[in-house]
Amino acid sequence: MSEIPHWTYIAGLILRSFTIAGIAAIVNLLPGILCAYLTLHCEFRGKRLFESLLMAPLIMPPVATGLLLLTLLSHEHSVGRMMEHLVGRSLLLTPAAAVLAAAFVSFPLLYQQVKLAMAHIDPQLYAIAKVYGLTRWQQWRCISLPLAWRGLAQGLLLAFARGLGEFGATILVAGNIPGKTETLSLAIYDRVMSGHSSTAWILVGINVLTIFVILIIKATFLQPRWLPAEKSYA
Amino acid sequence: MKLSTKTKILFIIAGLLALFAYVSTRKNTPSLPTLRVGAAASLREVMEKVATQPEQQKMYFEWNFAGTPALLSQLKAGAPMDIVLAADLQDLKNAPPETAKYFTKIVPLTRNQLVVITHDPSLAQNFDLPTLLKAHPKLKVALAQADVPAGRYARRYMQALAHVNIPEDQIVISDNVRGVLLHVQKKLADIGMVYVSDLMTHPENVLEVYRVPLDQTGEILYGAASTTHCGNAATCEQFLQFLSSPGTQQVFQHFGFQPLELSP
Repeated sequence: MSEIPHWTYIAGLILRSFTIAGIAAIVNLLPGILCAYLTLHCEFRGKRLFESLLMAPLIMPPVATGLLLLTLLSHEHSVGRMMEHLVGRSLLLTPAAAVLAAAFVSFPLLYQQVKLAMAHIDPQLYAIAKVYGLTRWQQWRCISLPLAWRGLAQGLLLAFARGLGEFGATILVAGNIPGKTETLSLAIYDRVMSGHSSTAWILVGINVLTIFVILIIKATFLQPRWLPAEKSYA
Repeated sequence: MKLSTKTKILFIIAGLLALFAYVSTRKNTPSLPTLRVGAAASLREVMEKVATQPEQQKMYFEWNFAGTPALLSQLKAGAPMDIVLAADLQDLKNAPPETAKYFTKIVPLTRNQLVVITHDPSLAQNFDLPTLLKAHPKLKVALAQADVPAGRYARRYMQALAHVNIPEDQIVISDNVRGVLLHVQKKLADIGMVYVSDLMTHPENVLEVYRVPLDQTGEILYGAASTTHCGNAATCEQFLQFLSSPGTQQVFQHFGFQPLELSP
C-alpha cells in the first residue's frame, strides 16, 4: 500500500485548510469589531454576561461546540431550517459548515485582540473628535482604524491559526470528506488512525511551519505600538 | 502615500494568501453522478478499493469517514448522505425513530471477527486472558469505547469469560478501533482487541494472539443502508446490490473481512 500521497492531494489539502481558516477569520472581522466597540464604549445591563458568552468558545470543549453547531444546523432546529431555506440545502457536511465551525472557535481570539488594541487608544482623541463634530463612523475611520489596525491584523492572524487547527467541531458538522471538507487537522488524525504515520508527519510539518510563519509575521510586523520593544526588557 | 518595506511585504503575503484562497476554491466539479457515502472509519481502505472496481467507474464517490455513532448523529441532524455503511448492522436496525425515518433499505454488508493483539511476543504464547491478567497485574488492555461496535464486542467477549474483570486503571480507552490498534503498536497498551480486518490492513509491530470465537462476541455483521436523501433511488439500490455481489465480497475478503454467505 503506497503511504505517501500524491503532492496534488497535499497541495489541495493545504489550500482547502487555508481557505476555510482564512474565510472564517474574515467572517469574524465585522462581528469582532462591533462586539469590541460595544463592550468598550457602551454600558448596558448584562455586559459581563455578554462578554463571557463571547469568550466561551475559547474554553468550550471543541466536541461540545460541534454538538451545539450540529444541533443548531439540524433541520429540527429553526436556525437550521432557516439556513436550509436560504441556501436551498443543508449546510451540514459542506465546506460552509467547516468555515462556521472554525469561525465559532476562533472568534474570541479576534475579539480579544481588537478590544485590546482599541482599549489602548487615548479616549481624549475621541473627545476632541466629538468637539470637531466627527460622527461615530468618522471617529472609527480617522482614529480607531489607524491606531488599532495592528491589533486587528493580529486578531485576524490568530483567528486564522486557530481555524487551521480546528478539529472537534469540524468533524461533527462538516464531516471528513476527502476533497471537500477534509482539512489538515482532520487529515492528520485520519492518517494517524489508519497507520500512515509518514503522511501524518508530513502534514504535521506543514502545520507547524505554517503556525511558525504566522507567529513570525505577528512578531515582526504586527507588534503593537503600546508595547515596548522586546530589547528594552533586557 | 509612501509604504514602508514591512507594509509592502505584508501586502505581498496577504496577496499570496488571497491567491491561495482563489485557487483552492476553484472546484473540479465531477461530471459523473455523485453518491454521498457515510462510512465507518474501519471501512476506509476497503471502500476506497471497492470504489475503483470497474462497475463503479461511472460514479463519483463522496466519502465521509467517521465512527458509526457520529455518522448516525449527522444523519439524524439531516446531513445529506445517500448511503450509510455502519460497523454494526444492529446500529442501523435498532436506530431511534428520528434516525430510522431516513432509512429506505437496510442490508448486511460484510462480516468480521474480533482478535486479541499484542506487541510483546512473550504474551502471545498459550494465550488465556484470565491467566494472563493474574500473571501480569499491571497489564494494560486497550479497548474501544463502549458505544462503538468494536468496544461493545470486546466487552461481550470479556463478559463471556465469566471471571475476567479488568481494573479501570488497566484499561486504555480509544474512541475507535483504529485507536486501539495504534495504542498497541506504540506500546501504550500491552494487548488490545481489534477486528481481523484492522490487523490485516495494518499488521506493523503487532502480533495476533487469539482470534475470538463468534460464540463469545456474537456475530459481527456490518450493515449498509440507503436513505431518503438518495436523489436517484435506483442508483442507491444498485450500489447496495453491488456491495453484496460476489466480486465485491472478494475485495472485502482480501482486506480481512469474511464473506456474507457464511452468515445464517
